Amino acid sequence: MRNLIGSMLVAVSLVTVPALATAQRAGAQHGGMGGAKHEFGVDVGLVYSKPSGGSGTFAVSTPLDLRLGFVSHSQLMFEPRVSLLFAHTSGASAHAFDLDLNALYGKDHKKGMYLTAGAGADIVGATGAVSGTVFSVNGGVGTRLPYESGAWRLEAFVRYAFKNTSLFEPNTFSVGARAGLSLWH
Amino acid sequence: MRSFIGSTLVVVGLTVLPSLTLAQRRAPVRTDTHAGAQYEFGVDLGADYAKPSSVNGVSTSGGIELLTPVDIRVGFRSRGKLMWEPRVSLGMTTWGGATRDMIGLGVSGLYAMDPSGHSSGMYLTGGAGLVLVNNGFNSGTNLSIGGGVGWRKPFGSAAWRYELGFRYDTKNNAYLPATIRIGGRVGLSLWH
Repeated sequence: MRNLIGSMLVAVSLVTVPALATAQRAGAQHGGMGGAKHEFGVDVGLVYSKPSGGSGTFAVSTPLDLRLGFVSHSQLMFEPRVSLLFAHTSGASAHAFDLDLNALYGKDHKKGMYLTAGAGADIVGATGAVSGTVFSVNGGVGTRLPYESGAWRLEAFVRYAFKNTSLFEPNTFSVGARAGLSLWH
Repeated sequence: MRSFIGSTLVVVGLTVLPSLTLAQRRAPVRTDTHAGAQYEFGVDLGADYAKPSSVNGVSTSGGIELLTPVDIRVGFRSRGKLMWEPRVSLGMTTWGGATRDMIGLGVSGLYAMDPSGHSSGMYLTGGAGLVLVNNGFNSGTNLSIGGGVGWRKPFGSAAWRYELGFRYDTKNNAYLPATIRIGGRVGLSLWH
């Protein structure tokens, strides 16, 4: 299953990279955003997670991740999201890299409603402990509310993380929302 | 001899004056290109070397840390050379009736060293903050102080921001012993 998901992520990446490049080129011609190529943003996230066979968890955090949208003049744009943590001391290290790629479908990438779907990989490990990757898929609906040259962005989402037995991570279903500010460049 | 020197000075003056005037006209006018903006938003990737103090007399090893996004920074732009920049990070988890949280709140002053103000060039920074931690068993608060030097490098309508500096955290009963960090942060700033 993990191999299948890994292969799917690679395939999705291969399909989307040309689209990202095209989106970058097209972004320069996007008159509505004054030729902006990228949408940068950070959010506050609220999420309730329910692991299979375990108790639910409620979490609030900011900054949730760093999102970098590649603006396109079509209705579809792609948005990588990333958060990284690495610590190393004598003889030991630990890491947690959370990488996601979402597609956003909307009539206007500056305002109004959009739909989003994506996939991600949470790569975790530590010296003397097991290492591995937790793959996930997510989807949601959001809206952009123009605020001067930027926009508030509100998004409700669901996320399903697949189990990783070596990490003792069960299948986990999450539902939540993220709210933040987007600025274009 | 005196008249020769005088004539030479007049000739040199006549030759140099037009080029000086031209140079003045050609000199780039360095102004604050984002003077109309009220805020500077940004997020960074941070890397540092951290050295905790000894715990109960036992010395601890230093280590390297790498993190993104470090925090959210919102700078309040000013017309003067000094601007203020609050920085915030927040993480809270509730599980099985127990809550764990870590809240980082800080404010830094940024003093522009460049004629272009707070849009580009070098700046000096110094600030202080609080870190509030509850690890589910006990809680603690510590004070942090820091300072450094940074640069903004224009990138289209935005700017890359590089900063080198240090930070000292006092002891936090729920988190870490007193720790000094030396490192830097790199990120992007956008104006609004």
